[in-house]
Amino acid sequence: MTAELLGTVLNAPLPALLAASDSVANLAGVHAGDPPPHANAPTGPILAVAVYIALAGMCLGMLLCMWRLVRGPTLSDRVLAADLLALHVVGIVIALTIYLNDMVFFPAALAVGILGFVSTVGFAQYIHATAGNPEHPHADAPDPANVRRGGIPPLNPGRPPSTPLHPADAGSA
Amino acid sequence: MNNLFDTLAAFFLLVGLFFFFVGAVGIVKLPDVYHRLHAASKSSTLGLMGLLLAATFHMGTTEVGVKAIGVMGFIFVANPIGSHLLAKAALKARAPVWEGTLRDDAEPSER
Repeated sequence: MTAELLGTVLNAPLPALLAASDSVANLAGVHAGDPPPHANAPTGPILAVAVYIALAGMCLGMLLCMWRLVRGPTLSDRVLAADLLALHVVGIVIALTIYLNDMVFFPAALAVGILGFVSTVGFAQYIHATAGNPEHPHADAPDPANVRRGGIPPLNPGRPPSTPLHPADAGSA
Repeated sequence: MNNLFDTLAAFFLLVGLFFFFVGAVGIVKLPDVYHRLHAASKSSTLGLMGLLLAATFHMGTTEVGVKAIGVMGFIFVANPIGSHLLAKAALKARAPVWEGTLRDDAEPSER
């Protein structure tokens, strides 16, 4: 009884999802009365709870990745965060496969995985090729001040007032 | 039988979530790029394996099993390669090292 109640509560968002998929199915020529294949998914209460926890946890993990993506002191940190973000998308797609009891999104997991790998390799080659090149400055430039602060630079690193912005300013200021 | 497979799927789903979440926390909490690479690459590979096992146990068809093996094999090859390239690039670009680092074995010519 409790398990049934729990299943009912947990499946509450499903009708909205089904209504949305019905309107798409009408466009695709599927009869409106037909239940979608995932409508009577034999998902037990244990698995339903686990899927909800997994989806929520991975969304939280994506938020953490985005924090590193925004904050990351070097470009390598941002690329790493984007790679982990792509892997979280793969994980969410697989959890969605279990939730919907439907295989439609499964090839997307492989596609997103390949895209994440290729973008990581591309950005790694970019960082490797432009390291130390003043024409392509990114945040990986060596900064001895960062090492002493544990590799974490200040959020808004200001230039020390003693160093002139341009050699021409040295005399005037 | 169905109940057993559901329980197995839930177990592996939570195992995968655990490893994914450890990776996501590590990428936020650890002090420099090399530590973060260590956290992110290994844990996400294991976490994805757990999720794919969960999907295979739940769906129980050959189709999903073959696709899961394909994704697993690709990630097992691609994730270490990407992390290795990123670590080499970070070394070349002289990404800052944590102040508690005891020794740095990277050749000076690589930096």
